[in-house]
Amino acid sequence: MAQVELRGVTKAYGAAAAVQDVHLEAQDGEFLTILGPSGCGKTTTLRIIAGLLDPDAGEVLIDGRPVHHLPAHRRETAMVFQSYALFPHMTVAENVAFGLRMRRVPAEEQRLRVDEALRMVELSGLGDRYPRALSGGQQQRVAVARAVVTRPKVLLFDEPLSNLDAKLRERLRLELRTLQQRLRVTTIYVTHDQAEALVLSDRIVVMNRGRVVEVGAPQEVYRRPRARITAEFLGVANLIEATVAGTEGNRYIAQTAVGRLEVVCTDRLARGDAVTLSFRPEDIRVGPGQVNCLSGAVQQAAYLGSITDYVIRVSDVLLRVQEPGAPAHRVGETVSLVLPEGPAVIRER
Amino acid sequence: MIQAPSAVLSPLDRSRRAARRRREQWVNLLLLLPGVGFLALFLVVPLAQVFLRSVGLAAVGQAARFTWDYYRQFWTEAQYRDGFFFSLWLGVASTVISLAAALVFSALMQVRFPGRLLVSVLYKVPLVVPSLVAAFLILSLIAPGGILARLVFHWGWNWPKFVYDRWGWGVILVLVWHNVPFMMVIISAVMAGIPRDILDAASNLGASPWAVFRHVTVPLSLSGISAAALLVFIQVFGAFAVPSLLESAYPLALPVIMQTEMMDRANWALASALGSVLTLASAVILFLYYRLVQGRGGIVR
Amino acid sequence: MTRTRAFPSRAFPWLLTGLFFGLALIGLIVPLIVGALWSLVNPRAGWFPPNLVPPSLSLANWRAMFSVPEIGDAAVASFTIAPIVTVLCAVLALPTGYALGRRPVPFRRAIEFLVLAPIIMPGIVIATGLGSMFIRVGLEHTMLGVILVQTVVVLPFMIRIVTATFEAVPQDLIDAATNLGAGSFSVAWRVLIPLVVPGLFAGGVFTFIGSMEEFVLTFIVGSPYIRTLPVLLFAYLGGRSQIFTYAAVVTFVLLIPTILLLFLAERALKQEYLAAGLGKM
Repeated sequence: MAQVELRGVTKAYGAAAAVQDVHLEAQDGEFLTILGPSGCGKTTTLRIIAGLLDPDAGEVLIDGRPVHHLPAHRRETAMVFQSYALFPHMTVAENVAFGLRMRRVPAEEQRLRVDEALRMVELSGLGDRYPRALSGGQQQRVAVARAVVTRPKVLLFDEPLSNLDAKLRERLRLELRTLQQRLRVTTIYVTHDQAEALVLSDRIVVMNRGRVVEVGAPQEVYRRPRARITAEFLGVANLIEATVAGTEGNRYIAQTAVGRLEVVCTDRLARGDAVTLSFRPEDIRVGPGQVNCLSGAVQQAAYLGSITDYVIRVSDVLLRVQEPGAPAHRVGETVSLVLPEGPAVIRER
Repeated sequence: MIQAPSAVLSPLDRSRRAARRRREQWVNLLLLLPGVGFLALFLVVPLAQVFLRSVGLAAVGQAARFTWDYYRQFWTEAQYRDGFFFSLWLGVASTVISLAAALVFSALMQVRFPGRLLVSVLYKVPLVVPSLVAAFLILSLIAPGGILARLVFHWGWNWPKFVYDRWGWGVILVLVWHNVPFMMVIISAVMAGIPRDILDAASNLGASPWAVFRHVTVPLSLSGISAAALLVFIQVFGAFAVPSLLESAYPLALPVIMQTEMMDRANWALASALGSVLTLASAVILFLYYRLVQGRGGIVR
Repeated sequence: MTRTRAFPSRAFPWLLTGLFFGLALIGLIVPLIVGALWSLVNPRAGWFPPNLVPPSLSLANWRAMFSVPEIGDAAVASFTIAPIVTVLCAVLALPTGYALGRRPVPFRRAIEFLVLAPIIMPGIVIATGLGSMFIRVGLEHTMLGVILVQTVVVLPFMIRIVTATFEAVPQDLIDAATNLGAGSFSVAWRVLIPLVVPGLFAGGVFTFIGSMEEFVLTFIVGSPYIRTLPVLLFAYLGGRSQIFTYAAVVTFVLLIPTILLLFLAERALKQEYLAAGLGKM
């Protein structure tokens, strides 16, 4: 259990900067997720924390003490790899015991802790098997057991669920969260799957092109993104560029490509400000309304079981709208849409 | 071959299929005849003759009569027995030393250091140098009148006897020089094939670079390591040229004795017996190797 | 394999550099220089202890290559036998490699073992068998005998390379050709053979080098009438008369073409891999 801090961490490969001036902080016992598209630098950041990569500049601190001069095998971090990286020539029990063996834990204690770890991941009794005899989900659990048994200060996950099928992923991510809460280990989790990020994290760090874009709790980051890339990456967003035309107290009039919209915003906006409004598909209603009512034609209606995903054209803009239940509107139909008054206001174009 | 699915084959179809199969077999035979036939004629037949000759049959220049005499001669006469063990010693010593050096160097080659690319080309040069040439080059270095001896003499010291000595250190040195790069090529390839994640995981779990090497890299490279060791041993065990040049007068390596018996004394039967012993010993070692590899049960994927 | 690690000591990589280059110096460069010096020793002055460097240099030994018949003969023999052996191996290996690489062949394990055997067996044993056999047939001490004997130990390499090359041809290409109307012969001639040529070339280089360097069998079957360069080298290095100067010349006549050929082969192989890779796309 420890607090992790990155200050100004930079790493470049040749001319390309993989990670640029990254500042990051994980509180003691927190589940922090680094989220971003492929190539955004999240895995590089994780490996720098683990000591598997040396940063070109910056500091890595654990519990306030700099560790970036320590080689990988002396930092007290434990990592779960995307490929699981189980030792094929060792049994499950030997795999899990490896970290304890390196720390010269006495044999009897090793056995006890290995049993305990296997029980925690529900793999008791499989200790004598070899990794190749296990399923993907089981291998993943062995990787987790191997990491937690060492009681590390920081637990690191590098997209551990990306090699599993969707159903298994859903089930295992909840188990991971439960495990982490039980152990209360500071955890840094890297993923490109935003659903995972939202479900698991205490806070999300959004990265793009090597830089930290935004940090916040899941709800904050989803409902009130402060950067365009955050809105685009987390879920589906209808991004509409707007110019502030007028104000009435904390209500603003925004001039957009789909018409005049009334927007409520706690931020101070001035006339002429160029902003982007982000509307979530589930917040747009199909039906009559008073404020922010638009008219459009249905282009597509995709039935997804519990919801229907519409693409509706308003003027020249395509809006994604989600309504619960089966499709109620056909392609080609003209419908009335109501946009909410409180979208996320992003102060950039 | 696309075959029309039919529930029942008519007799005509069946005979056509059989004819096609027979034709295929003829084609196979014709294709294999040149290469396999050549080897069968020029390898199998002579080897069979060797074995026959070693027990007194298929004799050259005398009546054929089954006997174990030549094998008995091999075992009872000191020079032949000692020759066998000397060859064995050369094999073991060369293999062990080459293996140790190759392991260390292969491991070190995984580390990034300035000039590594050049070294990775340079170390392969001895591979293309025939063992005779190697013998010459090293001989000119370490022989009693060689360069190093002269250098050392300059400073007033004596140069120890490295060649023409009882234990064959000169021979071993040349063979090691020749075989370390060979082993390195095989072992490096196997080591490079280990997924980086696994090595990182070991580091991450607290293993120092040496511990990673010992607990992960070596076990996972074992297949390549053992194959390399086997090839080198068998080759050294049966080596003729280098021992012939650099060994002392006694003991002589078995292949060298064989050659003398064959060419100088026309004692074909005895040479055949010695050759059979060599071959049998190599076969036994091969067999033991396969047993060991099977015994591991394919732990190394 | 690239590894970035936090080294306890920044000097460690440089230590390795020093170690390896030191070894290369002592083990490779110095012997080669000494060997070269031996080839340049003035025969009238010689190079005896305690001289560290030959007292005078001359090209006499190299000129001896032309004047001393045995060296010239050996060179001619080596450079004649090697191409013949190579062609013979190619001819023998091509159908074998095709059969092993692309057809279901009975007794596959036995055949593969047979192909492997000459590599594993000690050359002296093969020489024992072939030597007496050739005496009976009258091939002992003949060029043909040496060619046949070298082929025995060099053919397996060619077969293995050619087989691997045939195996590596994607079945898709053959199916596409058949689908477009090519019969078996056309497929073989227009699709398979062109794709196999790079492998054949690589195999040819190795076979050539193998033949140039082959010693034991050539020695037993050929000498004293047919002597290739390695056999001559052996004579200069062992026995009663050690003639280091001639040995050095023979060494370099052997080494230089060999190393050159290997560079060529490496170039050819890379291109082949490139072609195979692009072909797979």
